[in-house]
Amino acid sequence: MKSNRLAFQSWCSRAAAHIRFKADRPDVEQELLEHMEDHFDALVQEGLTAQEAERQTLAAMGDADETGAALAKVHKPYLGWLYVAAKWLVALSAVLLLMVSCSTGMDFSGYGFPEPFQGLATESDETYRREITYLYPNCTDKCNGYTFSLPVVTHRRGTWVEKQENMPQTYEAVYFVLEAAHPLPWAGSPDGLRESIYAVDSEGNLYPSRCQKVSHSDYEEREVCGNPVGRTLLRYRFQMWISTLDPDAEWVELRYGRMGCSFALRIDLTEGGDAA
Amino acid sequence: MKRIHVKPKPLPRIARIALCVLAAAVLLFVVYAVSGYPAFSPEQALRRAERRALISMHGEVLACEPQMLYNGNATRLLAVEYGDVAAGFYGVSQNGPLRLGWGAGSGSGDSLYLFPKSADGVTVAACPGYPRYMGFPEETLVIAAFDDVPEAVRAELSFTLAPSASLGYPDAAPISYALSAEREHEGVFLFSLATPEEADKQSSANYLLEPLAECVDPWSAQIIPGTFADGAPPVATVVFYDASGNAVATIETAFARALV
Repeated sequence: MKSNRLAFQSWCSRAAAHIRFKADRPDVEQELLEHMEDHFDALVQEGLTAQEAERQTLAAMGDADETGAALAKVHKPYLGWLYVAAKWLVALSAVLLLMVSCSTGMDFSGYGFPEPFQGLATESDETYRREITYLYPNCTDKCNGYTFSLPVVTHRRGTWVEKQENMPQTYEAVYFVLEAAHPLPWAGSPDGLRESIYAVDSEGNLYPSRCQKVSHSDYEEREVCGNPVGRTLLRYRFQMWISTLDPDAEWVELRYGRMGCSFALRIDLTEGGDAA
Repeated sequence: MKRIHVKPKPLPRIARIALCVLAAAVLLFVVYAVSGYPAFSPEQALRRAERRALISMHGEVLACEPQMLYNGNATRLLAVEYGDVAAGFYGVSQNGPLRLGWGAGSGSGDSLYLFPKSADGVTVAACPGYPRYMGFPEETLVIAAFDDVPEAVRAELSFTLAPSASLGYPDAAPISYALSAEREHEGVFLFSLATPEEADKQSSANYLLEPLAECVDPWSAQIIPGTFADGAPPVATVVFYDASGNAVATIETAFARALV
């Protein structure tokens, strides 16, 4: 049996040596060897001696060089080299990812959206009464590839009595989460809106952005301002506010318009919302 | 007894190559994402900055000047024009992996300053530099004059900085500057103003140069009324000369303020 195997292996090695892509040779050798052993076993089962079965098996396989030349035609080397190159490409990409991940520190601190309006007082006491209404305006608008929406708005009214004059006072403001979504993950946060977003209300009052106020030397308290609060892969959120809201306002509209890009989002303040 | 070989049929080599290429493409995209999606050129980074600034117009790059190294990265300052509507400065650094990309981190650290074009025919603006306010305190302050005088090959810029009385400087006298620049870029002259020596750092002259650049920064503009006399940016006079040395235009205009 051992001599059969050596003879068969020698035949297979000689045939496989014609294949130009060396990495393929062991597999082809193994395939040929199994084929020859199967043939050998079948002949032995038919009653032939081991020597005769070996001779017939080798004869059936023909000339090793001719078979090898035929195999070389089937096994083109360029696909093999391409496969090796592709495997190297995967390995190098993985190494590059590891290096870049280590060098950038993989900082995900800005990812995710925090609970909105954290830190804003909600309780009333003897001297200051707070009324807070949550609104969910169903409005969206598009600008520069971004889709803007207002996931949640809170209308806040504070009332207190001025001790010296014994006069009731009120202060109203709107706090809102402004969300921008973009289909491209590399679009980045649309921070330009913070410079130029402003608001008008149903009474015709203007609430400029903080940048517009200083540019116009306007130091009134009415303004629209805010900060970015988080992001996910395709969405960016800003928590913003409209301060010193006119108590008579029935709606307030956020507007942006600069160099060919504009959007508007209206908040209906009379809409029945959830009281806090 | 006959052996039965049950071998799973391997994927064809071409399919394995395709899978490897696909895996490599996914990994390389993750590398690109982890790197902060760097742009492949300063101009491409500018397009992204425009998108983030929520402006639909695409600026024409008039000048692209190298600035000081920032964290070991190369930087560029671009002078940009948006037709007759606006002009701007854009600063960006080559901070991608292997320093092959610009404005990585979704543009973190880059700066786009926009200001409206003046109706006077020339728009003069001082640049906050890139990195912001680090580019000029020890070297030069760049002042750009976006012009519409194509025949001009040389320009002279003069202006006077008059500090507001509220600043309380004892040497609060107006200081005049006269600068000259040759035409190096179509559509814009870039003037370089050497900032005062270390000994003069505390003078009102030095104190006023930085606010001059802050005029185009929307978040710093509140300092202008209390910094300059009359509560407004100073007025500059620009004289343009043609190749024969003749003055072809003289224009007076105030330093630009941020577009908001």
